[in-house]
Amino acid sequence: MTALLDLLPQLMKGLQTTLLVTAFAAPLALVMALVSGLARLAPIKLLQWLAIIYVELFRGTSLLVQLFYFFYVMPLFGMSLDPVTTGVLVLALNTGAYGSEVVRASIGSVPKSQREACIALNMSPAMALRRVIFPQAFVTMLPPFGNLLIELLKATSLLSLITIFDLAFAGNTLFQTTGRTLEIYGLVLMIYFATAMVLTLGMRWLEKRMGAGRDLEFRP
Amino acid sequence: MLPVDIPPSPALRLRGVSKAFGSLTILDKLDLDVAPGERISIIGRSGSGKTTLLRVLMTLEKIDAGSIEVFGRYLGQRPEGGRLVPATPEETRAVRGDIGMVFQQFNLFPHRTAIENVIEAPIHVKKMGSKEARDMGMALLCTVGLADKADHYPRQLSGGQQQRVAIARALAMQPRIILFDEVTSALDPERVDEVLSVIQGLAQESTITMLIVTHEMRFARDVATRTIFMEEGLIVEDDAPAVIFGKPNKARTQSFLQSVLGRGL
Repeated sequence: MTALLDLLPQLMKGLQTTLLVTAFAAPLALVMALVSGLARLAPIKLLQWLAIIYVELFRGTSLLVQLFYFFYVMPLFGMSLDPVTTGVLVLALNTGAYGSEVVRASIGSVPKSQREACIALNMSPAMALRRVIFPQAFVTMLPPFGNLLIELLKATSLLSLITIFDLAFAGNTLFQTTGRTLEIYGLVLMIYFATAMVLTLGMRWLEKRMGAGRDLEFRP
Repeated sequence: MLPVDIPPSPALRLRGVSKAFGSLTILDKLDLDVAPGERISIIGRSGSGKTTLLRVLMTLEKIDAGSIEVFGRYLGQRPEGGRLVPATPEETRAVRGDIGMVFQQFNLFPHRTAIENVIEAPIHVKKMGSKEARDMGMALLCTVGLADKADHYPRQLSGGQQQRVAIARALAMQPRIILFDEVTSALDPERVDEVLSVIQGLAQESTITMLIVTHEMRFARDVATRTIFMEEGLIVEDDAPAVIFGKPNKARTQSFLQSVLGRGL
C-alpha cells in the first residue's frame, strides 16, 4: 500500500499539467466553436467559407499529426512555440472545429416560429439571435459540449508525444523506472475517470441551471 | 384650423399584392383598403390565402408584386425614380413597428417568464426603461387576466393562458394595427372562449385596427366592423358582418357559410 502511495506524487504532477492544458484549451475551444459556428450562419459568403475551411481542415486530419505539425514543422517557418502552448493551441483548434458543428446545428434547431415572433416584435436579426435564438440554442449545445470537454481531457494524453509531462507521460515514466504495470496503469485509468466524472457532474449542473423553463412541471 | 380636405391616410392600403409558392398562387393581385380603427374578420377555407395575407403584412413573407402602405408609408419598399425598389432592413423595421401579430401557436419565448416575454421587446427594441416596462407589462397581464402568472414560464401555462400572454406581448409594443392569425385553432375547445373574450374586450376598449383570421364564425361576426370572405387568393366578398353572415351576395360566400355553418351560428 505504501508503495502505491509512493507513485501518487509523480502522477499528481502529471495530472496538474493535464488539468492546466484542459483548463486553457477548453475556453479557447469554446470561443473557436462559437466564432466559426456563427460565421457559418453569417450572411457574408467569405466568413462562411473561412469557417468551412477551418472546420474541415481540423476535423479531416488526425489530432496527433496536427500536434506534430505545429510542434516540428511550424518552427521551420519561424513559428516556434513552447510545447504546452502548442498543445493548448492545437487541442483548442481541434475541439473547436467539432464544437463549431454543434453550434451550427443547435442554432438551426430553434424553431422558425421563434424567429417569426422576433420579427413580429420588430427585432433586428442580430437582436433576435442574441436575445432569443442563441439563449435557447445554448441549452441544446451543453450536452454535446460536455462530450467534447471529456474528449478534450482524454486527448491531452497525446501531448506526452510532444514532450509534455502530463498524466500519461508520468505513468509511462513510472512504468519504465519501476515496471509495475498493473498498479500504475490502473491508477492512471482511475485518475482520468475521476477527473472526467467531475467534469460530467459540472456540465450536468450547468445544464440544469441554464435550462430554466425547459423542464418544469405543467402547472396551470 | 386643420385642413379638412386632406383625408387621413388609411391604416392599410394594398395594391395588386401577389404571392405565389412555386406555381401555386396564394394571393392574386389583391387590393384592400383598411381605415384606422376598423376591425376586419377574414374568413375562408384553408388555403384561401387569409393567413398568407397576414404574413405578408408582418413581413414574414415577401410579396412577388404589388405594394403595401401602412399609414401612408410603403412597407418593405421605397419609391425611387418613379418605381418601387426594395427598402433597407432599417426602413422596413421603421414601418413594421406599426404592426403587431398574434400567432396560432403562440410562439412565446420558452426561456422567459410571462412578464419577461411581454417586456422583452419594449425594453430592447423600444429602449423603454425596465421599471416603466414592467409596470406596463403587469398592467397588460392584468388586462388579459394573468397578473398572478407573471413569473410562470410558458411551459407552466395552459394553451389559453399562453395565448393571452402572447396578446399582451403584442400589445406591449403599442402597434396601431394588430393581426390575429387563427389564434384559437391550437386550443382545447374549453379554452377558446377565454381568448376570444380578451380580444372582444380589446375591441370594445381600444381603437386599434384589427385584422382577424378565424374559423370561429360567431366571433368573426360579433367582433368585426367588416368581414372579408377570401377564396383562391382573391377577396370574393367584402361587406358588413351582418350582410356576409345574414344575406351574402355572392354564391361562393353562401356555399362556404353553408358548409361551415350546417347547424347555424
